[in-house]
Amino acid sequence: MKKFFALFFVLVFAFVLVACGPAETAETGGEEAEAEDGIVIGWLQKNTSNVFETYINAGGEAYLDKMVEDGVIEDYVTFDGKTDPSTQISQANDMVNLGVDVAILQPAEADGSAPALQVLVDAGIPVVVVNARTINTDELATSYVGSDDVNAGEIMGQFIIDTLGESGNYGHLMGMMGNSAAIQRAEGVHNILDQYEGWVLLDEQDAEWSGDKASKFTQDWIQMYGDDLDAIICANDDMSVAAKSAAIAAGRADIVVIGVDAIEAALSMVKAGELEATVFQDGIGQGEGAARTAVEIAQGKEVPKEQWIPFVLVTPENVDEFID
Amino acid sequence: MKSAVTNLTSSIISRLSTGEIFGMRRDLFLKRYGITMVLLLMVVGVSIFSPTFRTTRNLLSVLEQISVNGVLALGMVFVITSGEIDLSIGSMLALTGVIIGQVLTATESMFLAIVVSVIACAIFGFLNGFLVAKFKMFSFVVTLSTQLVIRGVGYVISQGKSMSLADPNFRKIGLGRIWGVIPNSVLILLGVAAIAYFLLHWTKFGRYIYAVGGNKQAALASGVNVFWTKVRAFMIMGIASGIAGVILTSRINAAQPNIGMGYETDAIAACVIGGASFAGGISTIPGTLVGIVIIGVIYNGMNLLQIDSYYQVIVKGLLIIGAVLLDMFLSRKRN
Repeated sequence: MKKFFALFFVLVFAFVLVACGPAETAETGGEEAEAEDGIVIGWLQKNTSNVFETYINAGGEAYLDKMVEDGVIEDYVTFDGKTDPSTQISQANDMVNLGVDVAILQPAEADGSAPALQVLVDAGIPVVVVNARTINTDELATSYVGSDDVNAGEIMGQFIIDTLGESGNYGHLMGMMGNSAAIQRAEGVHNILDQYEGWVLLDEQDAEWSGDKASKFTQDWIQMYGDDLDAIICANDDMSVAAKSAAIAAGRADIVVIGVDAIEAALSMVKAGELEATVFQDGIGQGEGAARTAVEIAQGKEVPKEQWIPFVLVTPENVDEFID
Repeated sequence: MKSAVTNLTSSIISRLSTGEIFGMRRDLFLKRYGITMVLLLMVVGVSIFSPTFRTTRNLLSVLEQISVNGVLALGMVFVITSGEIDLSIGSMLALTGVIIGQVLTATESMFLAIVVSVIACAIFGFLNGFLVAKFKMFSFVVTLSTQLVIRGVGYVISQGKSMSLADPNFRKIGLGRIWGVIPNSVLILLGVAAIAYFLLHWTKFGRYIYAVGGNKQAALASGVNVFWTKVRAFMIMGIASGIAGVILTSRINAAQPNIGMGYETDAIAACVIGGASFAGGISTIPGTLVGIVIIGVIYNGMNLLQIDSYYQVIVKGLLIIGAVLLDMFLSRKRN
């Protein structure tokens, strides 16, 4: 009896691996990638689980699906990097072995994913880097498609000026120190507000992207500065949603708050007129831009070294466009 | 009626199981080579559907990709054979990385950086073993806690920041290839495998590990030093984590305090698929190597076949359950 089970399980493993393989392949419509026939694009995705990454993936895949349909490219393959740089390096090797014509890389880490780009470039595969740079992107990537976080900070600064005029006092909640998005968004805010002598920075804190910390800083600031506090600028929406909620709870719904990301909670607050604005990072646009660039490279066209997908200011007037 | 069916079935089964394959009793053959057959079937299956898989270049990539997990599994097999488990190895990988980052930047000596980081992991391995063996604490709990401590130490040393490594030679450990063909990391894996084989199968210490894991009371009664045997098993795990950490850090060419999460799962899986028993006392190094390769083929093969990564984890999980069941049926038969 036991032997029978033993044999049975061995066969089941084999079955799982052999049988489900081709079935799944058929489902995704992906035939074996072969460099000889037609163009094959390979995409090293950062992950397939975070909300923002799913926008990038969806934007790119929709474009590539259409290219396959139109017969412009033969096929494309996607690998889930699970936000692990070592996994991305392994997958870069797999891409090389598959013989893709052009690769797209969304790095898991600026430092750690750099060898993945190196592996692809060493194998003679042109690479489009999307959303965030590896430290060797400027040197090795054929093109970079992303959004400039300085731009997001500038949009926030400008919104504060447009809303409250040329003078006032503001608090600034930044993202995690050392994080490039945090540094650049802060830089953008200062680019605008430092030009106005009427605008005074009351306090600037590293709230580590965290709503919890943002909420505490907001409460403290309302205690410390009272009615002097006119605006709070936040480097993301987890913080802006929490800061605004804390302000409302403290009876200071008049404090103007803005953040970045256009997460669902922020959009619903903007729609309800509670949060003044958020800034939308166009993930779908980035994914689509990267996919389009990869196809252009495969067709032998010249592509720009850097392409910027603009951030979009979201206010009650246009918020409906961003709520699905 | 039921018993008649059972009798009939068991007579068929017994005839089947007493049959011979290649001149070997079928149950012995399955026990020894069952998992190898699974690997062969997998390789054949994936090869049929993916021409890329069977290229030499890809097979070398697979070996390169399994090197980190392979070294970890070869350490883990000592711990599991002694009847324990170590969940702290993912954190040790990160610790190795940040120590290498600091030492390499400060002294510019690759040798020193590697030695210091491996020793640090060995010390934490000692700590794990000491807590488990001295206070008879469950290794699951001990290493669940020390994984937090070790990860925290890594964050403290690195101040939470990742750091790219400037030394171009260091990168060659994990990414370089001898004559441009054989990956250095594969040679490291084979070296570690040879040492592990020697330690586990040829030395007195190895036999003590089996004795302690198989029957602790009997081992105690026959004069085996259970305390030191366990401590050493955990130290070997620590050293293996350090070596794996060196390869991983070199591969990503960066010191990152947040890497290595979840790596213990694959290492444990490789051991279990390779025939190591969670009850302790049963394992082989060649079996573990087969387990390591199976996991590598799952990842690589399914990538090449463009199967969603979600299915990869499901297959891996099912394979572990299957391997444990296989092990249970075979050992019950033997008893």
